[in-house]
Amino acid sequence: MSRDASPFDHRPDEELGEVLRGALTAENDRAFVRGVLEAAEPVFGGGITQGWWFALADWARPQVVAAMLVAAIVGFWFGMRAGAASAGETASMLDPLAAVAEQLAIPVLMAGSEPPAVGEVMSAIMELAVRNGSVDDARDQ
Amino acid sequence: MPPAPEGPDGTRPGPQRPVSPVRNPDVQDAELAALAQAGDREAFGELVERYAVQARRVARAVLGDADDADDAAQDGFLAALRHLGRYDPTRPFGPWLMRIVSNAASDRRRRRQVRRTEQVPVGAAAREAGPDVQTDRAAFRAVVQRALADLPERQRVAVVLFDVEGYSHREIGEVLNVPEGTARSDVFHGRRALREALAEWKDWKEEP
Repeated sequence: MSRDASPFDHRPDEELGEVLRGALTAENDRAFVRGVLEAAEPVFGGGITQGWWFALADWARPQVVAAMLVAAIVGFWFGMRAGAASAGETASMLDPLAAVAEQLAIPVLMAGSEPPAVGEVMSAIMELAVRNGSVDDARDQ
Repeated sequence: MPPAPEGPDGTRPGPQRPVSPVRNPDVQDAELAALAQAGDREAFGELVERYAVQARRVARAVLGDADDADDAAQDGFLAALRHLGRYDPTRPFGPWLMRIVSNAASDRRRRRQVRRTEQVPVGAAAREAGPDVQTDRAAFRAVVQRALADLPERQRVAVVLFDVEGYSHREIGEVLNVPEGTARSDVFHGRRALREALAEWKDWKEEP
C-alpha cells in the first residue's frame, strides 16, 4: 500500500496482498478438500463425461464447420467446372447455328442499302424453304 | 539423521509407503487434469489440494460470506471436473479453473440477491475503529471486508488475483473474460479504492 498507484505498475503490492490474504483466507483446507472429493464421487461414479450428446456436440462443432468449408470448396469447384463446360457447350452449339445462318444469309436481302420490305423477306424465305424441301415436307404431313 | 518431514495429514511417510506419483509437485497440472479426466480420483484430489486456497479466496472475494464462498468453490471444482475435456492443456490450469470458480460464485451471488435483497451491513468497526481508537485485528479485518464489499465485483476479483495470487493482467483477463486492458484498469481502480479505504490503517500492523 506504500507505493504510488499507477496503472502501469506490473508488480503485485505485497503489503496490500498480505492484508487481503489475511481477510480472505479461510481455515481448515483439509476439511474443504475432503468435502469436495466426497461431492465429486458421484461424478466419478457416473463417468466424467456428461453424456454422449455433450461429447457429440463438442466433436460436432468443428466437424460441421470443416464439412461446410469442404462443401463450399467442392461446390465452388463444381460450379466453376459446370460454368466452363456450359461455355464450351454453348460454343459447340453455336457452330451449326452459325453455319445455318450463313446458309440463310440471302444475298438478295443483303444487297440493297435500304432494309428489305417484309414482302421481300417473306418471299426470300419461302423460296429458300421450297429449295430445301421443308415446305413439301410440311405439306405431306 | 533428522526425521522425515510431516506430510499434510500430520503423519510421517515411512519408507515402505512410496509417495504416489500424482503427489509429486513436479507433475504438471495438465497431466493431473488428464488423469482426473480419465477417472483418477487421486489426481483430482491433488488438483483440489493445489488450488483449494486460491479458489476459496477468489470465491470469497466475489461473495463475501465464507460459507457461501466454500459452497461456490466446491461447485467450481465439480464443474471443472465435469468439463475437464474442455481444458486446453497447453494453457495454464489456474486461470481456467479460477474462471469457473469465479462464475460459480457470481451465479450463487445472483441467486442470493434474488432470494434476499438485503445489503451487506455497514460494519460498526468501519465507523468506530481508527488508528487512535481500538485497533484490534477483528476491527481491521472488518474494515478490509467492508472496503472489498464496496468495490465492484470485477475489481475485487482482479485485485485479489493480481496482488494475492500473483496472476498477470492477461491471465486476469482470461479469468474475468475481459480484455487485458480492462483487467489492468480493474486492478488499478480496485487498488486505488482499497488504498484509500485503508489509508487510516496504514501504520497499523497486524500481529501474526
